[in-house]
Amino acid sequence: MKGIIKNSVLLLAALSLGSCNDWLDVNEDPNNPTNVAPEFVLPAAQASVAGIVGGDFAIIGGLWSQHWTQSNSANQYRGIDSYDLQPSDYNIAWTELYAGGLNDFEDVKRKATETGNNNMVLQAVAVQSYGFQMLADWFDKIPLTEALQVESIKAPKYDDGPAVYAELVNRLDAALALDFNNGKSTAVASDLIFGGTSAANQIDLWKRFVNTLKLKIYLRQTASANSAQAVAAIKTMLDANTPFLEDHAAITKFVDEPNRSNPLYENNVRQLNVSSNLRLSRTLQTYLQANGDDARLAAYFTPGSGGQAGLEQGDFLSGVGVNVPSVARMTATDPFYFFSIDEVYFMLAEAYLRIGNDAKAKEFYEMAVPAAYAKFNIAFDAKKIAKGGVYEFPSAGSMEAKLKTIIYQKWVAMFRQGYESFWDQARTGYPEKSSVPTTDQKYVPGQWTVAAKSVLEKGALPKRIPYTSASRDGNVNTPALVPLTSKVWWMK
Amino acid sequence: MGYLSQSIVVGSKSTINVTLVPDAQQLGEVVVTALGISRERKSLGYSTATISNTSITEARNTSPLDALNARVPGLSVNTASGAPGASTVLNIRGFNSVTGNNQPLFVIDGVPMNNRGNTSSTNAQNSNDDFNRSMDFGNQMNDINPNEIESITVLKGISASALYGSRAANGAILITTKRGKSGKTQVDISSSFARSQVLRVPHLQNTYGQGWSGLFDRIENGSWGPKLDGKTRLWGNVVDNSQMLKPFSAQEDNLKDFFDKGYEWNNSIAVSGGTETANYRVAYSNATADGVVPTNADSYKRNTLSLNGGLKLDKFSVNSNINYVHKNQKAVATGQGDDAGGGKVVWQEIIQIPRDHSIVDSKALLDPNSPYYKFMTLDNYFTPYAQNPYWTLYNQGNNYDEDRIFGNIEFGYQILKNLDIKYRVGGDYSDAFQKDWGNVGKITDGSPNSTANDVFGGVSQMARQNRQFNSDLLLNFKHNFGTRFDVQAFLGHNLNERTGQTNFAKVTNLDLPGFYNLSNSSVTPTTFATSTKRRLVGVYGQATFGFDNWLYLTVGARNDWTSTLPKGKNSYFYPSASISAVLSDVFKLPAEIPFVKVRFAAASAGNDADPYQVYSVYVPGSVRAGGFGNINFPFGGLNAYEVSNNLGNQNLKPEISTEYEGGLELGFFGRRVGLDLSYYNKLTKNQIISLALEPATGATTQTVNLGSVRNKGVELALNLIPVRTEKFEWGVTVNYNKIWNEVESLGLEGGSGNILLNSSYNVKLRAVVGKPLGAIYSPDVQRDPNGNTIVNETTGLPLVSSEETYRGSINPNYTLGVSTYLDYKGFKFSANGDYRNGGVFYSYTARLNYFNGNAYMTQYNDREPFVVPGSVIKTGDNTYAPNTVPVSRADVFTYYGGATSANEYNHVLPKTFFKLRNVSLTYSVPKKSLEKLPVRGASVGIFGRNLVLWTPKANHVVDPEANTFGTSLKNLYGEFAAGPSTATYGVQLNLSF
Repeated sequence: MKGIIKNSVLLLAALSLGSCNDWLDVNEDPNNPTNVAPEFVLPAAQASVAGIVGGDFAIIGGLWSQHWTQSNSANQYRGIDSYDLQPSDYNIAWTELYAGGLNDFEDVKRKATETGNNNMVLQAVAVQSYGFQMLADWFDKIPLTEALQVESIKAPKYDDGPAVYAELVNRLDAALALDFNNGKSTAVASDLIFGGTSAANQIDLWKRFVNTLKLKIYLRQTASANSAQAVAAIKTMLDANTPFLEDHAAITKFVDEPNRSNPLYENNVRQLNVSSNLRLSRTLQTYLQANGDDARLAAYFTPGSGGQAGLEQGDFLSGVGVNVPSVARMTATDPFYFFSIDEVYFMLAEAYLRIGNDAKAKEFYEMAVPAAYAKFNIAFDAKKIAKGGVYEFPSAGSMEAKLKTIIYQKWVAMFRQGYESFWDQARTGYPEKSSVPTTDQKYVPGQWTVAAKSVLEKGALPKRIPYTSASRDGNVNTPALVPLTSKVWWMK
Repeated sequence: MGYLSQSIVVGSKSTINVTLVPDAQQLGEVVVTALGISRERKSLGYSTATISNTSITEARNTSPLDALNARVPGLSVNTASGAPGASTVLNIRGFNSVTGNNQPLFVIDGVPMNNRGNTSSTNAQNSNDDFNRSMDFGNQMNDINPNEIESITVLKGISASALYGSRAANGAILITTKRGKSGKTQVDISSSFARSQVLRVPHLQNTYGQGWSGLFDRIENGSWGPKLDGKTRLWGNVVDNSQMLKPFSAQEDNLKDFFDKGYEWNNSIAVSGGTETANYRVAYSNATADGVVPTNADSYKRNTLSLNGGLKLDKFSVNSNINYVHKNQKAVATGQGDDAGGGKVVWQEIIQIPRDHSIVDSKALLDPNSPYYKFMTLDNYFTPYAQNPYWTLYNQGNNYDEDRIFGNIEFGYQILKNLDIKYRVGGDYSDAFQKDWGNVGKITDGSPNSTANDVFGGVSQMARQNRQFNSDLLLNFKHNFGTRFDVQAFLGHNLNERTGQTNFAKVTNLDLPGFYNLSNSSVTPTTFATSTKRRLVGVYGQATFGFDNWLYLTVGARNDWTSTLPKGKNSYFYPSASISAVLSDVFKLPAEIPFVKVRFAAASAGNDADPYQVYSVYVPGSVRAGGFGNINFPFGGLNAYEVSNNLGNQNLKPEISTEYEGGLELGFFGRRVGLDLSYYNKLTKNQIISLALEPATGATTQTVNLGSVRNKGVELALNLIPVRTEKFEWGVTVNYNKIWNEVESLGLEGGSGNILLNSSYNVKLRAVVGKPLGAIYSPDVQRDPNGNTIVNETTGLPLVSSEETYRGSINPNYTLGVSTYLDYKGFKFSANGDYRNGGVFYSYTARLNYFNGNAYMTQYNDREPFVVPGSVIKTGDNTYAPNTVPVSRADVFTYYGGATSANEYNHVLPKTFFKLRNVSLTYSVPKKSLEKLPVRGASVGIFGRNLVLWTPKANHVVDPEANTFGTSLKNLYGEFAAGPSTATYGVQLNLSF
C-alpha cells in the first residue's frame, strides 16, 4: 500500500509538473528594475554622501568644533556634546555611506568603465574617495581594499589609516590619468554637482575637484609621520600649477519641502520634535564678539530673548530659560558644500605657507576671508584683513603665527561644515585648548573648552567616532573599541 | 466506547479534545459528531484541541481569535491593546522562525485564508517602522463573525498540519462554519451590549509636581518639581496679562479621567434549515464598538453576511459557502509623533503631563467661549514641550475600510463504493482603503510657545488588495480488509496563488487647515506602488492503517513546488508518520482507569521564502540625511535608483522543520478525570533569515539559509468534573504549557553571533545562539565582581557598562490556563483565567515616565541626594571601595531619566501577569416554559472580559500584553507608548425560533 501511495504521488507530481514550471516562474520583482543605467544611479550616490556629511557629520562637526552646543532645554545631542558616543550612534551614517552611496559609486564605476564613459568614472571615483576619506577621518581604520565586494567578501578587513590614504591617492591619480578623449566620455547631465555643462567643462571641473581632494588629503597629514612626503607632494602639485576648484563644489538644488531639503535642516529642524537643539556655543560667541564680528554672529545665530547669548560648551543642564540662548540658523535651501570656495582658498593659503611661499599664502588668505563672508551673504568690511584689522594676516609673524591666523579664520568660516575645523584643530592645535571655562577671567576668546559634562578623562577632547555596531554585528574583522580620546593616525 | 462519553453534547464544555478523521475530511470541514469523536479519536497519533462555539461566544468577543485565550495548551494568543478591532497574534508551540512568519495557517472550511496584519505607520513603506505614529487596524482573521463558527480546531504539531503544506509549519487553526441541518427552518438571534473602560494606566507617583531639577517651573512638562503641598500656584503662560491658578496637589486619576467608557454592540441573525438532500444557512451580523478614547477615534464597525448551502444527489454532492465582510475601523495612533506630517500622538502627550495637572481641563480648547480657552491653544498651552492632547485628538484621524469576500465550493462524486473524488476551490479576496490625516498646527511667532515645533500636517492614502486562490483535488479510498484491518487513504493535488497590491500616496505641509486631501499641498507627494505574486503547487497523500480498532499507523507525504525559491531548486519533499494505540482496549486495566492511549508522531515540513529574494534589484533613490530625514528622488528634477541593499540569493533553500511528538491520554474514575499529556521536540533548520550584513560590504541584508531553532515543550490538559449530579455539574480544566526554546545556531561564523531583530533606545531584541529566540538585551551599569554598582567618584552616578546585559526572553517561562464552569438547572457560570509566568518586555511608557518624573519608582529617598544603594567606586585595576558620594539633587533626574544609558536598564519590565479573561453567567429558559411560545430556545446572560489584571510590583507601568510592534515575532517585544488595555462587561440575549 505504501508503494502504491508513493507511486501515485510521483505520478501526480509528474502530471502537474509538466505545466507548472512556467506557472511558477513569477519571481522576478515587478516593483523594482533589475538593470539601471549608471547615469540614473550617480545622483543617488552623490546625494548619499551629501546627506550624511551634510547631516550627521555637520551636527557632530559643529558640536565638536564648538560652533554650537546642545540646548539646555532639549536632549537630542547630549551624547555627542558630552563625548558619550555609543557604538550604535553612527550606524546610520556608516550604513548610508557604505551601502547607500559608496556601493552605488562602485556600480557606476563598473558600468561606466564598460561603456567607456571616463567622465562618469572620474566623477564616481572623486565622490566615492571623498566619502572614504570622511569615514577614515572619523574612524581611523576603515574597510577599503576589501570593501564593497559583497558577492565574495562578507567580512572585509579594516585597512590602516595610512594605507587608506595611500590607496585613495592612487585611485584619484588613476582616475585623472584616464583617457577622456576616447570619444565615449560624454557629458553626464544627471551629475548633481556640475551637471548641465559640456563634457569638456565637466571633466575639467571634476579634475579640479579631484586635485582639491588630493590637496585636502595631503594637508591632513602635516602632523603625521608622513608629514615630509605630504608637504613634498603639495609642493609638486603647486609647482605644477595644478588646477584647483575656483568655485563651490556644491549641491544647490534643495527645496523647502520634506525630504528634499538641505540634510542639516531636514535632520535637525524639520524632522525633529524640537527644532532648536543647536544653540550658540560661548566658545564661538566670545571669539566673534571679541573681534567685533556681530554681523557674522547674526548670520549664524538667531538671537534669544535677551540678544545673542551662548551656552558654555556642553552645559546642557544650565538653568537659563528656554528662550535665552541663540539658536543656530539654517534653512531648507542652504547648499551642501563638498568644498566651499573659501575652504579651498584657506587650504591653498596653508599649502603655500607649508612650502614657504608666504606671499601666496597671504594672497589666498585674503581671498578666503571675504569668500567666507560671501558664502553666508554677509557684507564684508575689507578693513578686517587690512593692516591693523582684527583678521589681518601676520606678514611679519612666524610660520606658526600665520598658520594660527589661517586656521582660526577657517574655523569661523566652517560653520555648518564643522567637521573640517574639528580636524584642523586636531591636526594643528588651533584654536588652542583652554584649561578654563569661558567664564574664567583667564579665558582667551576662541580657545576650545572641554565640554562641561564630558564623560572623558579630565581635560580631554574627543578624537574620533567609535567603530559602529552595525559593522561589528556583521563583521568579525571590526577592530576592538578604542577610547574616544585615541587619536586618528594623522592627528597631532 | 471512547475517551469522551457520547452523552456529552458538543457545546457544553469549554474545551473538548476531538478527533480529526484522518482522511480527506481532514483537509476539509471538520464535522464534529459524537460518533466521529468516539470512533476516530483513537486513530490520532498527535495532539489536537477543538474549541466549541459556546466557548468562543460566551463572553461575546467581537474577535473570534481573542476567545481562544488560555483555552489550549501550546497556543499563545496576544492581543495588541484594548482598542476595538486591535490585532491578535497567535503562536503555536513557540517561535520557530527567526525572521520569518511564526503565525499558524488559518483555514476556513478547508480553504487557507489571508491574515494580513494591518498595522501602518508614518513610514508606511517601511514595515519595520513600528514607532512613528503607528496605527493598528487589526488583522484579517479577526474580522470573522464568531457566531457562525461551529468550532475551531487547533492542529499543534507538524504531524497534524504537514499536509496543509509549507505554510502550516507553524501549526494550523481550522475553522468550521455552521451549516444548515435537515429539519424545520430555524431562526437564531443573538444580541449583546457591553461597556468597556480602562483596565490599566501607569501607576504613577503622587508626591511631586510640575517642575524640573526639584524646582517648580510653570511651563515644564514633567514632575521633577517640589513636593506637592496643596498650595495654590500660578502656572502656565501669561496670556493677556492673566495666568491660571491651580492647587499644587496630585490629580491621581488624571489619566483615567481623560478616557470615556466605550461600548460594543454585537447582533446577529441566522436562518437555517434543510431536507435530506439539501441544506442552507444564511447569517447576518453586525458589530459596532467605540473604544475608551473620547470621540470615535477608536471605533470598529463590521457587517458580515454568509450564505451556506449543500446538495446531495445520489453519488454527487456539492457544498458551498460564501461570506462577505465589510469593516470600518479607526485607530488612535501610538508611538511617537511626527511633526513633519500627521502630528503628535495623544498617548505620548498625556502620559508626560505633570501629576498635579488635570488633563480634562485642557478640554476648554473645544469651547472658544470658555474663559480658559485662551490658555489651551497651541500658542499658549502651558508648555512648549507638549501639545494640548485635545488639539491632537480633534485634529487627527484615520479611517480603514475593507471589503472582503471569501468562500469555497466543493464538488464530490462517489466513484465506487470505496472510492470518491472531491474538488474544492476557494478564494479570499479583499480590498482595503486606508486614509490617515493630521491638521496643520502653526505656532504664532512671538507667542509663548514659539520655540515649539510647528506641525506641518499631512494626508496619506493607501489602497491594499490581497487575493488568495486555492484548489484541492482529492481522491479518497476506504476499505475494510476482513474484520481486523481497515485502511483510509487519500491522494491530493493543491494549487495556491497569493497576490497583493499596495498603492500609497502621501503629502505633508497642508496649506488649507482642516482640508484633508492629497491636493492640499505644494510639496512633492510620496508615492509607491507594489505588487507581489507567489504560487505553489503541492502533491500529497496519506494512509491510515487500522488494526483491530485499537492500533493505528498513519503515513503521509507531501511535495511542494514554489515560485519563491530559485528555479530548479524549488521542489521539496516532506514525510510524516504517526502511531496510536488504545492500550485499554487490549490490556485489562483496573476499573478506575478505563482509558489509556499512547501516541507517537514524527514529521517534517518545508517552508519557502518571501517573493523576490532571489535576484538583486535597484530601488528608487532615497538616502538618509543622518538620524532623521531623507533626500528622496525625484530630486532637483532628476530621478535616480540605488543598488538595493538587499542582496539576492540564487542558492536559497526551503526552511525545514522536523518534529517528534509523543503523548499519553488517560481517563480515570468514570472518565471524570481526564489527562492529556504531550511532549514534543521540534527543530527548524536552514532558517530563511534576512541576515544583516556589514554595510561596508555594500549591502545590508541578504535572505539566506542559516541556523536552527529548537522548541521542546510539555503540554498538559487536565479535565476534572469534581461534581456531577442530576441537577448540578462543576467542571474545571487546567492547561499547563512550557516551552524550552533555544536558538541552536545562526551560522554566523565570523560575525557577531547574533541577529538584531529590533531596537529602541539601546534596548535590543536579538536572536542569540544559546538563548531563547527573542532575547532582550539592555544597557547596564558597570558592576564589580560582586555585582555592586560602580559609580563615578565625583558625581556618584553609576558608570555605564560597555557591555549590554541579557535581560530575558520575550516568551513566558510557562503559562497556565484555568477554566471552570458550574451548571445548575438553567444557570451556567463559567470563567477562565490566564497566568503567564516569566519573560520580559520593552516599555517606552516606562521610559517616558522615568524621564519626566512621573514614574512611581522615582521617589527613592524623597528625591533628596542619596548614595546609590550598594555602590562602589573603582580604586585600582581590580580594587573597589564602598562609595560615599551621593547623587546630587540636580542629578536625581540624571539618575532616572538623563541621557546616560544606564537607566535604560529600567525600561525592560517583567512580563508576568494574571488576567481574568472571561466570566459569564447565562440562564437558559427551560424548554418546558417555552412550549406555548413560538420560541424554541432562549437564554440571557451577563459577561465580563479582562476584568482583573495582576502584575508583579516591578511592573507599575503597563499591561504586559500591550504591544505596538506589529504581528511578527517582534509582537512580543513590547510597547512603544501603547494605549491602555480595557475591561469589558455586558449583557446578552439569545433566542431561537
